[in-house]
Amino acid sequence: MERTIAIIDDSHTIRSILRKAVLASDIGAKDILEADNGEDGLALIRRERGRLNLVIMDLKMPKLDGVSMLNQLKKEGISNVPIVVLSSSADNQIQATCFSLGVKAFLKKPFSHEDFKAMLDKVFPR
Amino acid sequence: MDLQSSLTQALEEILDKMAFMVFETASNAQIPAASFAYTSQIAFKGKLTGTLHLYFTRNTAHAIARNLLGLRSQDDLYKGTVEDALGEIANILMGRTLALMDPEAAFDLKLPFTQAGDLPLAGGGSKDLRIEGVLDEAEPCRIIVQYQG
Repeated sequence: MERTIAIIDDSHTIRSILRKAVLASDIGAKDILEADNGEDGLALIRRERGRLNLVIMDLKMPKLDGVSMLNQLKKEGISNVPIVVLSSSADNQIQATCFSLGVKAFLKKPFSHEDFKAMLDKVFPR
Repeated sequence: MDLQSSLTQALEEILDKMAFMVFETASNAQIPAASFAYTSQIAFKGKLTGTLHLYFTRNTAHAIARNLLGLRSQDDLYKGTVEDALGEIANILMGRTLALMDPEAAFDLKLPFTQAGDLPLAGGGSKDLRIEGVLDEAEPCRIIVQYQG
């Protein structure tokens, strides 16, 4: 199966790490779409919702933060795409908020290749 | 955990997991004199409020960026790439440190800022925590947290 993945993070470094990790994984990533802020990320999900298989997004981003983005997606009824939140600063309350807004999994920074693979296994169980 | 232990553990974890490097604390007398080529800063707010400052030599900064990004030694490395990588290290480091200190506590991190050169401290706290160390047994690195709370 060929999959399309969206990576939404303001850090070029993190986008690059995630791109390589996704391509190196065995989930069949074909297209990787990127956005470097919350506003563009929201627009990307709206535009590509029909073909996205996974969104990996940061919480702390310029223009529109991750929680506001998730709220907007819920308001618009966009719930068919699995979303993984990547964060170094999410306390338990923010995590609970994200899960209530439909987030499938959290990936805490710092993460290793093994952590990343475990996250993918959770999102795409075999 | 206290700030110093949390910060040290967080830095060891981050560099090991993401940059495949080893950080060890050292006293001033044990590390070579260094001129730091990059400074990263990130402000934080919560039970503790203040600013984290990270100082890296050119070699360390480039090694961290290359390792994080999986670049080979012959690949081009741009200043902006190095700055973004170090800013991300500051961001992850402070987030992990505060989470280790108190997993239940809410806190807020501002966007990180990295600049070439050895920047002076900006103030912003009534207390200073300073950690000196070496990366991969050779390159000096300095961490200063100015905080209150």
